[in-house]
Amino acid sequence: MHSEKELIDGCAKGDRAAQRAFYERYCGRMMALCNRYAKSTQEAEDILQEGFIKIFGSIASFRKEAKLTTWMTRIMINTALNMQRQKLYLLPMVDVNDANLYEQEEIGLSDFHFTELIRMVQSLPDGCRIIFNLFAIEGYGHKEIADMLNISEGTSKSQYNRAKSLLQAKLKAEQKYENVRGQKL
Amino acid sequence: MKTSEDRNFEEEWKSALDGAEMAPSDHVWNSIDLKISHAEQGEMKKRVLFYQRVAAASILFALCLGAAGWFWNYEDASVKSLASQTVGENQKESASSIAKVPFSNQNSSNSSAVTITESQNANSIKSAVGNYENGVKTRIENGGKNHALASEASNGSDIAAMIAPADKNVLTLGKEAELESRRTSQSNTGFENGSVTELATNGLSMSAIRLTGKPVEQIESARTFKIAKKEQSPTDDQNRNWWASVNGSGGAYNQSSSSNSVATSLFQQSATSTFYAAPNSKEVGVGTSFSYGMSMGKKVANRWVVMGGVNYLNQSIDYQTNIVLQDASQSKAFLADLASLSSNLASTNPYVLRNTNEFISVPLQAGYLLLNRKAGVQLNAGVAADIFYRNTMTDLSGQFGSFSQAAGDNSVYRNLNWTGLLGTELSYKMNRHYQVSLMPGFRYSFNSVLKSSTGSTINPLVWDVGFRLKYVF
Repeated sequence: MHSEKELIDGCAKGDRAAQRAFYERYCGRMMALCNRYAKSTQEAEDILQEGFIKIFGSIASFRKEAKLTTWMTRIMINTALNMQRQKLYLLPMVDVNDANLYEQEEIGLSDFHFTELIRMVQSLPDGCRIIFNLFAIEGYGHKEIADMLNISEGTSKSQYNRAKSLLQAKLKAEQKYENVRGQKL
Repeated sequence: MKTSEDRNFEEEWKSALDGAEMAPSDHVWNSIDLKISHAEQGEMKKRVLFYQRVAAASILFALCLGAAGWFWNYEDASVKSLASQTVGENQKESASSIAKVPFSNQNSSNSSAVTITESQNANSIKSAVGNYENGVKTRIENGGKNHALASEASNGSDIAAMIAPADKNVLTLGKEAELESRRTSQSNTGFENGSVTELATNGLSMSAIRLTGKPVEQIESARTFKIAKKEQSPTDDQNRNWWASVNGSGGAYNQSSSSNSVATSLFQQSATSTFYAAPNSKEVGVGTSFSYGMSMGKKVANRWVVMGGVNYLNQSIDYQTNIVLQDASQSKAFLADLASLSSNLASTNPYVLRNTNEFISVPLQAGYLLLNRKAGVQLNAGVAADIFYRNTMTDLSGQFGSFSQAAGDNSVYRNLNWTGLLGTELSYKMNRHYQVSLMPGFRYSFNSVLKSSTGSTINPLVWDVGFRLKYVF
């Protein structure tokens, strides 16, 4: 079992065995991240592949005082955004003014497996999905997101609210379906 | 401003997805592996391209230098011939009265002005000068019975003796001549009142020869002939000795391969599996080559050198393949080129295979010295007998074992290959015994390194830059 430092050093030297070990150690976590940003598993794997190539290409410049997973996550997110940017350019995000969207009932997530949650996130429209991930999961502010995606702060907020209400609707629908199925059984 | 409801929603999602892991498909790593390999090959290509350009530029530079050197020698020979002719005719046609008059400048102790008096026929000088073909300008002025040939000679000896044909000295002249004398008259023919002949030679060797009817004492300053002894390299004798050297080189390796019938037949026979054909040279790209060894040589003539030696030569190139050789214990990296060696082949996920050939090379070369000073330039050409030693195939990912095979009947590689060598040697003499050289050049195999029975040909072409540390005995 290699230490993180050994793996980083091996990858920096281009040692293919170290790169393989590094990939195997982190691919699961990164794949889950990519799945949140992608529309499908295939798309997520494309992001993962591209992201790891970038990681191996620039790992020699990784400063060890930073946390490796944070650094890798940033690379993966940037890769995902780059791949999604074309879609966002073709289908620009606009402000969503639907007051009804915000009046959804709060539903807990404890009853859901994370793969179900990821599938729900994947089903969101492209713009909503990215902003939801950046704001709710990664913790970026709307101002930062607006700068990253070259949109207005208001658009980011409205897209996030739309994502939130869509997810709540999906959770509710899933919950109802589960309840109905439970009653039948 | 986030409400508590918002915060709950976000935290709930964050904690639900935090630490989540999902396994990607197996093919993702294979794709990453291949892309990294291609990127590495791209880097290597850039590096190799740099060395190729350095080698090509150096050869071009050496050729230009050689041409310039040849031209220089030609000029010197012309001037020497002209000087001999001029003085010879002057000696015959003048009164043979030559006076040596010292210059009054700071080098007067080493300088001399020579006056040739009683010259009766300035036309002889004009005729001699007219033979000088390259940019010589002749001007005749100030005719008179008494002509002076003013010169500045570095050794202060008699001018006639110094430029006599049998003399080993060569005539080299200052760039400008300044001669102040009063002009009494001037005509187109320039022979009525005496003559002054001035030669200008584009600054290469001769700048002026001026004859004047005025006494030498009236000449305040003159720089016309500058006769110097031909520079003789102090190391000429030393260079005729034997020398020994250690040398190494590195560069680009191109297979120059042709169609691969073995791989094609393998591909056709495999109904169930898809084998990658061994890629042709376009797909393979460029590999690397390095060598090291030692050599000896001797200067056999004024500008000719012969040398020979023995070198270890390593040529490696990367392929993408999906063929593995299966033996009892493990799968080994394998190349379709060698499929005839074994029937225990299987297909697998694509991987990058490094194919390395090792040779013992015995070169024999002749060198022509274009420049032999402190810094030297030499063109080398010759042949090398490359004795095949071993072929090794390695999976760069480490997934499969290496396959290695030495020369012999089972090998698809010929035991002996003949290679042409051409290069330039840029050298620098550090002291009496040691010399370092940079040697850009290329080598091309006259014959295919593969046996004819394979149906394929590989004629390696190598561009490399070598280094040599030479000891002169």
